Amino acid sequence: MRTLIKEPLVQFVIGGLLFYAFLNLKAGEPEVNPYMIEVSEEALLTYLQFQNKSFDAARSTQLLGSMDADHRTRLEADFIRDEILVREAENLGLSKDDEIIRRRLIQKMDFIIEGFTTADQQITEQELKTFYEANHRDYTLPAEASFTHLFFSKEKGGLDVAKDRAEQALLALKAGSTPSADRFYFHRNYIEQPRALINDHFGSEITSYLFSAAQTGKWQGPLQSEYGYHLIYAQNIKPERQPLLEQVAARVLNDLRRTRRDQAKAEAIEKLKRKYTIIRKNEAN
Amino acid sequence: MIKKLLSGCALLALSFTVAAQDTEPTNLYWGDTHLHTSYSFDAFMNENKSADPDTAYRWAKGQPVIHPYNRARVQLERPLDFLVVADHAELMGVIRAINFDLVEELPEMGWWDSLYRWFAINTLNDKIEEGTAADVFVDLLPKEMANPGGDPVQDPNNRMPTRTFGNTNAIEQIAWNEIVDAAEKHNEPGKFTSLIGWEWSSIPTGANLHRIVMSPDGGDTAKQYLPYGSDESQYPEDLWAWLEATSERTGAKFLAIPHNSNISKGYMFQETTLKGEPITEEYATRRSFWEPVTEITQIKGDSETHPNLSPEDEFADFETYGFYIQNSEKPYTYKPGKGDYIRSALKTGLKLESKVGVNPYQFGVIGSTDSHSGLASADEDNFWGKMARDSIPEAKKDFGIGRRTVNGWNMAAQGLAAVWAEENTRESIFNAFKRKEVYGTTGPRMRVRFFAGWGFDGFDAEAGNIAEVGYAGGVPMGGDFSSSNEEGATPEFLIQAVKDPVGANLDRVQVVKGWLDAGGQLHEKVFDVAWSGSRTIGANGKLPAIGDTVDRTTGKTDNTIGTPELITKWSDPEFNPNERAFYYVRVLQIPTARHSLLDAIALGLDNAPEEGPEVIQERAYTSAIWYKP
Repeated sequence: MRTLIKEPLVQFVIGGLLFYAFLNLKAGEPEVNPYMIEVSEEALLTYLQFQNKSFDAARSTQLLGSMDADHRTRLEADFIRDEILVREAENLGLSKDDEIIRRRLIQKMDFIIEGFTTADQQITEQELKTFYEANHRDYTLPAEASFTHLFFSKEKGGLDVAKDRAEQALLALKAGSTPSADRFYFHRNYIEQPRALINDHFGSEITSYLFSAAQTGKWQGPLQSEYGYHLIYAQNIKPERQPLLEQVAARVLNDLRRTRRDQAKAEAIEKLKRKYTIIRKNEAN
Repeated sequence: MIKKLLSGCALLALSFTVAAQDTEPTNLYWGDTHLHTSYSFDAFMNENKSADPDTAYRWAKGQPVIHPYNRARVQLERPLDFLVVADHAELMGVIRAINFDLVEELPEMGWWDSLYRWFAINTLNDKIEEGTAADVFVDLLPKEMANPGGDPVQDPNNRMPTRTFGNTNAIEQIAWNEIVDAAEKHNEPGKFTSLIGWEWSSIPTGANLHRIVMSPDGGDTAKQYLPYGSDESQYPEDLWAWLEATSERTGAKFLAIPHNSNISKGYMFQETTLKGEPITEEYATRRSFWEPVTEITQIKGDSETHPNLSPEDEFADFETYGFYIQNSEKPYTYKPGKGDYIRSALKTGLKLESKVGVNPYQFGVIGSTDSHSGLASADEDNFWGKMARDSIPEAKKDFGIGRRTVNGWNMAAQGLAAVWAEENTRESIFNAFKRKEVYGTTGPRMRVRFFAGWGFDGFDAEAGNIAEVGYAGGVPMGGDFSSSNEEGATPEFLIQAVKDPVGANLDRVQVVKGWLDAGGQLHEKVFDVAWSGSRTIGANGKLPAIGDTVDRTTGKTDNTIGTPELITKWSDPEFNPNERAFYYVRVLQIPTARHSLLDAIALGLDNAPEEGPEVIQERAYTSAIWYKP
């Protein structure tokens, strides 16, 4: 998979370098006639691949070879038209001061720099460990709880009545009988649910109680939520915990790669910046 | 989830009472099928240079990320369950195709103007030689369509996406592979689903015909094709043909989701094809096969209905967005038509079905964001804008300045896609879309169940067996049902709406019915079927408004009005067994602060921005259930 990701990038970088080399070469060459358009097999092949959005050289060569005269004439005409328009646009200086072209150039440069910086990311196990330790807070697993509850809605006679019903129900539970309760709007059972979700459903008061004061294996309450009163039976409470590196290795690796890439890009741009003198005009003192 | 259910049973055994409430056949998953990243060129040019697909997935999973423009650390408190990164096919990392979408959304970048300058200079040079230079400027101004009502693709004023800037498909291939790789990396069956997709952005003469395409297949399949863009064709028929052919060639499955019909100039849901030809059985079959679901609400407004189309519906004017994507130097009038809105499209579908035998507009609905910031955010209080650039309150007014156009406060902080599926996997979620067991909300995560059938005798609201009884004795949202064998029987509908656990209470539940009468006339009616408090329906047939508890100094809502849950069994008092009909549910929240009010409070403005109301009633829309005599 990694080679798949890299392949086009690497190709692109090489392409970019070749193009750069070509420009350099061209700069040394005597002026070519700007009004001559060469229609070569290679140029048409490239053009065709771009038109078909298909970059299979062998298939495209075959396609070009088997093209009838009409089709080929049209392809040539399109190629020539595009070439003329691009050159005329350049003659008119339309590529200057054009934000979209500037953006495109910036993006291309970005690609090239990124290609260089991602190519040589060899990450050792030790580096991964170090990175994980330094950033372990990002990977902390949330506290979780498994519990069930009985709900007494304030919609049935108000808060006081709900509290009273809950207290009666608790007594009944302690006496070993099964009290009736109301249907809660969300869930009755919460199995290994993260603290944030429990907080969303019950509010902060019940959540804090559940994670700090609640005892497992015992009915407790009544506890008040936005909706009424609850009796809670906690089965298992897991505090917030740190996973082993192996459990989150894929995410840590991705994060380290991204961090490295961003650093390397920033450094590469910093290096380029050293070639330039920056003058700040019209700056307020 | 299966693991949870199993251990749930263990706990049930351990405790005592307990109905089967937590073991329903389908679970609710939340997602966004329409998110742009820096790989969409319009997103990139509006200052989203860094929120790439990887960032988008990390945000959706609830991890903190850096905002691409204001560089703040931002986070989605409640993660999404699934996400489709849907970048523009035409603009995937390149400037190859020029899309009208950009005109509206990049006004001050000046590239459109420079493009026109380019045309201008060339044409002018020619015309000067010909001696006809005077008419050049008139020609160059982008016009509204020359033949309104005609085929917009063939309109003389339509400019096809061109290759003015040369051909850069190699870059596009790289971009696509990276989008696919990010999706592959982030897909975690059972936990988080990434579905591979893109946007086909057809917009002839400013008529928005955009579709999101998504696929449940993996990266190896996706890399066998390059996304089909509107530079290939602006006709949806050609998109479907490509989907068909590519499906055959690669084995990929697809579906397409139209969006922003509200600004389609009447072309999204016509009574004819886009070319103006009559709709045939073949067309209707293909369309309903490829397009089982439509976006009903998103950042660029709500497409349920418009006050002009539904004058009786006092809730019709919600996040109405009347701004076409076209060069808007010249003033224009927004003309809502029945081809633009979903309720009228569902009605048109009944009529077409009675003519050709198949309903081309029998689709379900979802919400999604269409955010271009890489951050799927539909919450009023955690809304990061349409583009990256309008993410900060001080920039909202200026977003789009200089043209008679929209700004950041015209945008709506919505929506989300809710899916009833067996499990959180690509296959399961895709299948739920195919069977239309999905619904949309404008941001809040309201839980909505909806079933129709010929009698739900065992239904007991207090026992919480709606799903059990609903699935056993009827059809869920997205389905259809036929006549009963019993003479004089009336269909029943089971509806349950639960508030967003951290959101505002509910005002009411409504059923929206559309039908075709024996004379071929189409009708619609909104029924209030359950509501909070002790209100009664007035002499005018309307339920009184719920009130408003939004504190204008904090933007907070007080849940002292409304109710956490509405649950009911309803039957249609006007049911006629001979008339084709559809029924869908609309759930309204109590009023809450709009994002523009929160901005106004933050900025210390005296008045809330005039672009929208101070408070809104957020809502959920279910997919319809169709009655077929």
